Amino acid sequence: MAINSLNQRIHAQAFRSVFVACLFYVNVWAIIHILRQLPSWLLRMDSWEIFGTVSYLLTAALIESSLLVLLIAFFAILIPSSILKGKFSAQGVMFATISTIGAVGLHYGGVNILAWGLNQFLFTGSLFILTAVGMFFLVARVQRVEIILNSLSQHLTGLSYVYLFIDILAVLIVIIRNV
Amino acid sequence: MTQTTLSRREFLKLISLLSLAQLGKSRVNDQYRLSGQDPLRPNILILVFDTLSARHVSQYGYGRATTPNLARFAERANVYHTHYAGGNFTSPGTASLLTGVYPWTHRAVHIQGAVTREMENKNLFHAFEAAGYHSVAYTHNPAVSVLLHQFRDGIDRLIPARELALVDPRIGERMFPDDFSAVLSADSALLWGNGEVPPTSLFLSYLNKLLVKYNNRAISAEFGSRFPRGVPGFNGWFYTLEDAIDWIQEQVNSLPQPFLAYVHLLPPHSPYTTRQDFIDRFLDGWQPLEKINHFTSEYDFPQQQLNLWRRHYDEYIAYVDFEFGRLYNGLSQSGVLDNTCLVFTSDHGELFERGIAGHITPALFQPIMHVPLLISLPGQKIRQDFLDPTSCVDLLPTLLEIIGENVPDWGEGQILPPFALGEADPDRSLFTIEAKQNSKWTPLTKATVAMVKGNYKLISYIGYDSTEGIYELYDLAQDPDERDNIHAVNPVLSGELQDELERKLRVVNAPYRQ
Repeated sequence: MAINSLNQRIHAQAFRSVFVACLFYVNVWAIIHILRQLPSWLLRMDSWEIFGTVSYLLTAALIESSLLVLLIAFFAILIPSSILKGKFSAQGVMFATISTIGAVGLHYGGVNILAWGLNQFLFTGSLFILTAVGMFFLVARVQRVEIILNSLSQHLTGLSYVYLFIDILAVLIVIIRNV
Repeated sequence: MTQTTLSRREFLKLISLLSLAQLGKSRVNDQYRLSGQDPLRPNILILVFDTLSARHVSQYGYGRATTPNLARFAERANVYHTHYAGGNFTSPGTASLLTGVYPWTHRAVHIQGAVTREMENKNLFHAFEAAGYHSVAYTHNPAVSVLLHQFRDGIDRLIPARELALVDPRIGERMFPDDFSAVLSADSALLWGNGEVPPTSLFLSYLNKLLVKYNNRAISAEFGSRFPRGVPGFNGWFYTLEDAIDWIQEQVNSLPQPFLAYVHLLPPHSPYTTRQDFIDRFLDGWQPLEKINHFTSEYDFPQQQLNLWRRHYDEYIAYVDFEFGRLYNGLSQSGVLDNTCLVFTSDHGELFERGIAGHITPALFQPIMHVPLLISLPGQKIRQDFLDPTSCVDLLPTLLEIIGENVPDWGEGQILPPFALGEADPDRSLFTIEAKQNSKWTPLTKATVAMVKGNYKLISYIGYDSTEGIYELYDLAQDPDERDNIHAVNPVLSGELQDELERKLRVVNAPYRQ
């Protein structure tokens, strides 16, 4: 019964769309920054070790994408279905997108959260929640935004499956290195 | 008529037996008898305190009384006064110490760098394994762990760093213990980035930081009153020296004999988080000699800031010394030192001058390359001082000589006095190398090399913005603080030393030119 309820809220197709967005964002970030670190690795590592390091990082990217989509699905379960209105795909892509924008902002803003006090956590957390809630209602009410987000997900599908393939190869390399 | 001659090894054995015979009824013989151990094959305990500059050790003439316990140990040890590290940070310095070759040969020249595959079987552990020793190794420092994992075939017990960690945030090392180097690189890149490049994880890196923050808070709540400047550790690792010292005492009392134990502890590496009872111990207003900022200084730290960090470093050394004193007492009282050779040294030093702080720098001034070395033989009762320059590459052949093994032909070091027969070579040159911007796989074209020969030290900055190269020459006897660069005023000597260094570089670079 719980599974039926879950299926009603999150269709497999919609789940895939959100996963595609998560895969895309997480992998693009990972690959860009792997490439930025590559010159320093080339100075000191041989090719097999670089392969190994990159494999661990892409395996982590796959895990991170999966955790993100599961987190979004978890939130979707918490939201009453009358509010979600079967728009898990667009809402999920929206959440993944603003989370990514927020994380990129923190990374490139030189923010050191280790030095943050409670007030900074509360302020940033509140800002994120307010943005997410605002975007949620925007997606719920403005069909054009929903269409854009669904279209975005569709356009990312091809590239994201390439990333998925690379990530699975990375998992295999990690297994090979450790057997 | 045939003449009977003693080989050097036979002579050494004879000397050792004579000295043991002289000791007669002493505890030394009893100890060996009880343990059934060959007196010519003592246990070896190597203690490396990371980033301990000899220039900050009162034992070597530093103005602050940082190391009274080391001075006590020195009264029963061979003290090497001019001992040099192989590099100016952990990977090259430690790799040279463990392999007996300079960084241009082992090539662990980068932060968390590894030695070449060829050197994986050419090191202290494999040499002692071949000699039938039981070996155990432990380090707090992940850069040293990279090397120890490379040498693990020769180590009977390689103890993971987490054994003595107050918290263990590194999941990767636990999940993939046999792929340490790649996992460590991935862990750093994934969760921390490299300073200029953000981490490769968008979200997990923040989750990790939250975890670290939580751990920091928990650790501070428990240990904060003892360590007001922060609990020793870095990047989410925490540990106390007290735990490490207690652990060493337990280990050496229970290891199969003869053993080789290598213990590389992180203090006094930055951050300088000394224990509460050492805070402000050196609030004495003392001002070190001020020196002009060097061209390699990246941040040009003001002298006042450097003096503050220096004081914190000195106070951290005092904590290290106190804990070493506790270990020394324990080892003496338990009789371990009666059949164990204790080696006290460091992998590199630290710098607080010329606008530079720390050791991640291309500079190779004395405070960063001059490290302590003290070796006590089993049951040693007297002090011996050796003033001639020595290098960390000398440790491997010296220890092999002490246990009566042949010195391998691939080493670049020499057996130290008093274990070597004959006079020390007065023309010997010693080297310290910094090459973290150079590829591991190519000739040294971007590096700093310091060559010490007698009283003189030539520093060559290779690959900097000068077609003629940048050189500095110091007379360490007249100018131990390296304030007066005499390269230009002594062209004959400079030329000779430059020629020698360039010849040496051609030789060591040759395998990488093909």
